[in-house]
Amino acid sequence: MRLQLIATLSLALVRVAAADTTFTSKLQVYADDDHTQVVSPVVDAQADVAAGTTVSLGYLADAVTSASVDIVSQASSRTIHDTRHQVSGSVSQDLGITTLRGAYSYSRENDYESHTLSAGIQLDLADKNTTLALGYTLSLNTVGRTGDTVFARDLTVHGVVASWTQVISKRAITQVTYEIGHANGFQASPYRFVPVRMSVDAAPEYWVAETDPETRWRHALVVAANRSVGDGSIQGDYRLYRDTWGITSHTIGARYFVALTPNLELRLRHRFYTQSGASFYQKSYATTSKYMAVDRELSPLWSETLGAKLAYSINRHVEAEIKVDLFYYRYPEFPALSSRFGTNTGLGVTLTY
Amino acid sequence: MKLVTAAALLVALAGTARAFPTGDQFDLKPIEEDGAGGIAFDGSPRWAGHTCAVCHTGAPGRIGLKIEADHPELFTDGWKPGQQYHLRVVLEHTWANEANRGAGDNCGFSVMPYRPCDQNGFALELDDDGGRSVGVLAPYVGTACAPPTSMGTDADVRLLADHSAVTHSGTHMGQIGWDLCWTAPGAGAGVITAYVAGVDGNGGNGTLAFPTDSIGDDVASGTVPIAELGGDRPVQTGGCSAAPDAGGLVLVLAVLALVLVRRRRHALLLALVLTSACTHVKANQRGTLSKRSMQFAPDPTEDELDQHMQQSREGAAGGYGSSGGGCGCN
Repeated sequence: MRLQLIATLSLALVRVAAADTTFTSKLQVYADDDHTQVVSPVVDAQADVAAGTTVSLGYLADAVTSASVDIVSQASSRTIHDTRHQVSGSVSQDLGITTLRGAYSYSRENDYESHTLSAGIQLDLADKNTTLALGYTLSLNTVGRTGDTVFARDLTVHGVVASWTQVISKRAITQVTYEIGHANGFQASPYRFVPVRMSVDAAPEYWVAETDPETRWRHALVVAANRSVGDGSIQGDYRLYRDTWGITSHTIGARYFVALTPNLELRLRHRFYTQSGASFYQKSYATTSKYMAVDRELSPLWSETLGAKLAYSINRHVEAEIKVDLFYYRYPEFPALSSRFGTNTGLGVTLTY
Repeated sequence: MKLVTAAALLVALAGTARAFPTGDQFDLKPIEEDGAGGIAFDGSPRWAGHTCAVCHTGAPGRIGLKIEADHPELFTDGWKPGQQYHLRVVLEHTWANEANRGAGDNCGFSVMPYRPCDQNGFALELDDDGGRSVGVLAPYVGTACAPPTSMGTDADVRLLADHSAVTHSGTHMGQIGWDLCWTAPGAGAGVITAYVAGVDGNGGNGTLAFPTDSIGDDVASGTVPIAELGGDRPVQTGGCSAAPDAGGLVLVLAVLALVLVRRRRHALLLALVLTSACTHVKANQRGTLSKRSMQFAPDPTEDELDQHMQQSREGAAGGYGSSGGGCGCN
């Protein structure tokens, strides 16, 4: 009996001192009424490999099937199939009050290749009541065009993000994040062509390739707060976004977590998003302009998302989850599509040892 | 003597079974005698904030803890120098092996067939700002405080050999409350913090049917700062000055409202007030903050998928973390 008690105590202490290894697998399915489906399997593994050192590896795929208005408005009206593969890895080192992190990801699809490097530093101050973080990301992209072996355009994106996380009380915490990004290179779609016509309803007189500015500065400021309520919590966040293309957007998010039983957690969430259009976006172009786009993402739009997720802890090591999000996008100044409704559903399992 | 509830409900994460069935094990040598070597993990600074949760891992955190005192003004007005207090530590909302609570001491190896005991425990100490145990702890036996050096007969609690902390004695099973005495130190000790941790244990004999491990238990822990009578109210250290707690979210929402109505200078000022008016929360007080539902990115994998989808369908991007590479142009 005594020996067993000693072993129990020792094992428990080792478990605390040593590391967690987690393995996450998810499958997410996106479908909308604009004839687009995206199936995204993802696997992630993370392990504490040494004192203070954490390594993670991940793989993600997006299998896209689409016959959206973007596709239909192009030369061919056929349904397209494409798959994006992404592998990623990161390492972080805890050095006491300082944590260093580096990450790399590589993404490839039929007409797009991307390398992303990031590095960050985090400082835990005032007994971890205040956390400051600074990060830098460099993304090197090559944009191609299916069926055109000559077409290749570069897009380089730099991003710097700074955040301030502050413990307010034993039950509340806030975070302020500012991110600035600079994109330089080809940012239009190589497939889209803009009709030039006398009115929205008139037949096109001719078509010109979509042309966006080569440079874009982005600014995003996010204020977020989490507050514990009973066995759960309420989270709220707001993002103010502006860029040099003239888009201003507001995003408001709210999440509510509640423990239905000791093993079953429910998350409800709501997200509202609205944006103004880019300064060069027009519902219809009567003459050629320096910049011309038929990109609904550059038109004024708003969206609502409602979602629910259940996470069930089968035991100490295994957790399963299921989620359903419903979303609605409204495009008041995009003639080819006035709205989009869809679902984002997912299944997942996480193993922790 | 009437005890009045006056202290905190303290809940923390953690969980296992019967590491210290009897109080004297806290003072036994850890290797040779299956003890802790004079350690009582009650969350105090000298134990680096460790609580019973160090061994009792994975507890659901459903139970609570409460400290009661015969002089309720202890928790409102403060401790009085030299005053002896009758305290009671109470486990609330216990659930582990409740079925055997009614058995009392009629359990364990003294009965056949074996019946696991409802085996609960606690540890408590009261420290000054320097993390030193202050005052005099003593058992409460019968209807009065016993001498500090005496275990008395049938005492609920036991002092560590150095008298720096008090734990359950293990004399009786099924207990969810323990009485003890504490005599406050002389004037000038300042704010004293009670560090307390408890286990709602399910017992066991090491067999497959009743495993003797730290699984299936529940744990709670927390702190109660107590001012010195006539002195300053307990204040936190570390640069923060007030404790808005519930107001934190309200202030953040106010900042958002001001941003929306384009009063950004006012929003900035309010944001500065928000971040300066906060409570310094110690490491051992972060049971709630450490929960997944209190993280800003509780599921990074899902966030990456969602943000990649949103950024390919909206003009805005950034501020929420990585969304991966690639076009997402569909």
